[in-house]
Amino acid sequence: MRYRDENKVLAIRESAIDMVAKDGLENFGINRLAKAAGVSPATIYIYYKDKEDLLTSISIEEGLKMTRATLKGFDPKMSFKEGLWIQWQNRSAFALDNHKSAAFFEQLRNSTYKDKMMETISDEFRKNMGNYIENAVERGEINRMPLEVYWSVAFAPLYSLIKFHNEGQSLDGRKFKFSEKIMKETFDCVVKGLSK
Amino acid sequence: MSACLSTMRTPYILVFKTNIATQADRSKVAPLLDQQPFIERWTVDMEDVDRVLRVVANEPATDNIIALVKASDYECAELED
Repeated sequence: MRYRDENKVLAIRESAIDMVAKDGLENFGINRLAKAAGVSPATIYIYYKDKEDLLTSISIEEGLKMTRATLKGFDPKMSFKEGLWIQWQNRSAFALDNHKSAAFFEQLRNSTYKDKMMETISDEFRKNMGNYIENAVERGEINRMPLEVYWSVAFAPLYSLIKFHNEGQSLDGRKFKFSEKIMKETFDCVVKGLSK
Repeated sequence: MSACLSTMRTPYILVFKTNIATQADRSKVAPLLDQQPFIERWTVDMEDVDRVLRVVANEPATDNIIALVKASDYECAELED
């Protein structure tokens, strides 16, 4: 009888995220993962029945972690500007602390695991975001617009900054480091663009 | 109350290296494994080189399971740590 060892579970999860983030899904396998995590393949099979079970379970956990982090301190009744700023802070903090997890999701986004991942974007999350936008439209703070237009203006600029930061450089190899000041400056432009 | 707690059982997870490589192989082993009352559920990872058989059981019946798989003419050995 083997007992559940949380340290081993953590090592397995972290190594799996690392490996997929770096090398993608193609060469990912239980045996390689076991070597990377410093456990035996038998140990991995105690916790997961196969590769698919493992990746599904990790993407659900990571997805929940991400949506919870994004909603921290957020209230759909907030003014448009205040609510957006909290989301920028939450999203940037999560992305910077968990850039491997973001790269892991990026790999899964182009795979058959996508549906499982989408399921983790909870109804609670959708409802919160939907109500927040609806309130802002009703108060006359922003115009009604397609979701894609909203997302591309509201969040894509933030993710560009984070991408520059993770790569250590922006355009033409200019050195770049993310900061609250740069984030605020970008945020002000975004709010101006979206406000009526 | 303590007696109550001591009878609470967690399932045993047993893993084996086999040569159950295809769905056809799997369906030959399935009837025997499905019949055992001590087996809650079982899966085979046919993508892995070790074709790992994973059994969730309510008894640590390692030898029993090896015998069952071998009786269906497949190889089976405990996957060691």
